[in-house]
Amino acid sequence: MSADLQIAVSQEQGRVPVTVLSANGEIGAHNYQQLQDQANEAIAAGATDLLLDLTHVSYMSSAGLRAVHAIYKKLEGQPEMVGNVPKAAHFKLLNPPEAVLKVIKALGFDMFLEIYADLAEAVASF
Amino acid sequence: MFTTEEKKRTLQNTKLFSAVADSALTQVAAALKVVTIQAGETFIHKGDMGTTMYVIVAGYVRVHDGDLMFNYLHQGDVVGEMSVLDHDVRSASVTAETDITLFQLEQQALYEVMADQVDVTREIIHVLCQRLRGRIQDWAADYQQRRTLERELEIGREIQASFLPSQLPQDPNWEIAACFQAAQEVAGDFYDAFALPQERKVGLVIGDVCGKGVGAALFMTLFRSLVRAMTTAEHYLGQDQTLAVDDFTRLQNSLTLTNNYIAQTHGQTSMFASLFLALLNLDTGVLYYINGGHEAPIIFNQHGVKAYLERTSPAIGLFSNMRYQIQEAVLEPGDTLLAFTDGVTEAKNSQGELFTEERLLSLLGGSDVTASAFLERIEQQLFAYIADASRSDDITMLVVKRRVGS
Repeated sequence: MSADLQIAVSQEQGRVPVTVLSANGEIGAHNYQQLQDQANEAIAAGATDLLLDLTHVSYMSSAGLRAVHAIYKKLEGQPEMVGNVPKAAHFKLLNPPEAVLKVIKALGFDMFLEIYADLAEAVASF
Repeated sequence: MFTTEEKKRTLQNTKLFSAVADSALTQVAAALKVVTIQAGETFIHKGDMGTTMYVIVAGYVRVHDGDLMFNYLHQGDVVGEMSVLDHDVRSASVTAETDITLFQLEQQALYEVMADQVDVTREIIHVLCQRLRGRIQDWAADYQQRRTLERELEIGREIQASFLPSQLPQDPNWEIAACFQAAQEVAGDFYDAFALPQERKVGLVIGDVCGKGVGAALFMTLFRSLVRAMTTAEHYLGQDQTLAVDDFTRLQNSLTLTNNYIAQTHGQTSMFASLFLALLNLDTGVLYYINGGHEAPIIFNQHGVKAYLERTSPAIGLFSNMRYQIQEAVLEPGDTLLAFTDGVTEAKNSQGELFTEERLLSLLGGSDVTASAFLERIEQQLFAYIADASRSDDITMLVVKRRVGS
């Protein structure tokens, strides 16, 4: 466990059970694997719908998005094409701070991942 | 549990006290205390002040700093002597690997023995010298290994440089210039500019592979090669081959193949790149492009910004069933296209402040006559801003200028 990233796992109930991974700290080349491992663990334990809460992530590099991509791939079997991109239905993002949102948007991850500002709304969307 | 005689016999079997006279051993034996410690217990903690040293009588210990392993010490070895002698904190932690028995000697008692018994003093110096020799050998081996790795990285850097264009296309009406500065030996950034076979068109590429270091560099070579080879496939098939495809199809094929190849062949690694790929018609100035999650290239003239070539898709290599929309822009005489990686806008000065896109924009316009003069001006400003601050990201810029009157 890297000292600069903590990940808490909790459960929310919407139309389906939603596993919330709440990351706290920085996500970069040295620790993105930790996020991926934590998500893999949740998926192995039966999670099918996952919300990544980025409220307390102060920094995320493009390497950090490798974990986001790996989780997307793990959860989305045959994603529906919306426009030109295969849009995620089982993996969504919650509340990235401005600096993190900038990286997400720069690489176009917002084009296939839904981003919510409110937990209840995010959970209800699954 | 140990009589004085037993302590003396045990001491005689240790390196430190084997050469010490019988009378001196009696003094040492009287001063030391027998301690037993269970397997797994850490009895010396790095950073603590230490006033005791130990002789291992039975069992063995691990000398370490957290997970970093230094050494194992066994029966007859001395441990903890450094802090006692130099009045400093423990330089490492020591944990019992087995149940162990130790002779514990307090600093004061040790000093008294050393003052009285020159043999003990000599042996302590001997032990310290042996440890130092061991360290020097370790350092030499580490240094050698590091040199080997550095040489390998240097070779990697040289080979990677051959994945960038050795010369840029030349044309009387156009000027193309580029700047590339890797943050480390090998880079994840790349750019390319190449003439299309049998057409007055050039392909323009700038990209940034996620992450850094050797992993990003490996993928940089792959992305660059696939895009280059696919966009100019006829060239590699032979001069008389023609694919007879229009610009749209050429761009779409090139990026679809690159994307699908990476996503399908290397999907497990979750590696991707932001990538801007364009075809520029040298006669008309029409530019067809795809922007896969890359910083928007900017078209400007002396009056200011004319267009941002915003992203048209997510980064390349993420999923194999992407469809790419092609956009169109025009470079008129006097216009300049600036494509760059985030290493430019996110370059930091020594206070950790970013160069920012705003600062970059403030440098556009002006009356630079050539692309290289413009690029030189940006580079000067950028590297003056960074000054001595450490570089964390590669810096790449590609500039294309259509000459006035062309």
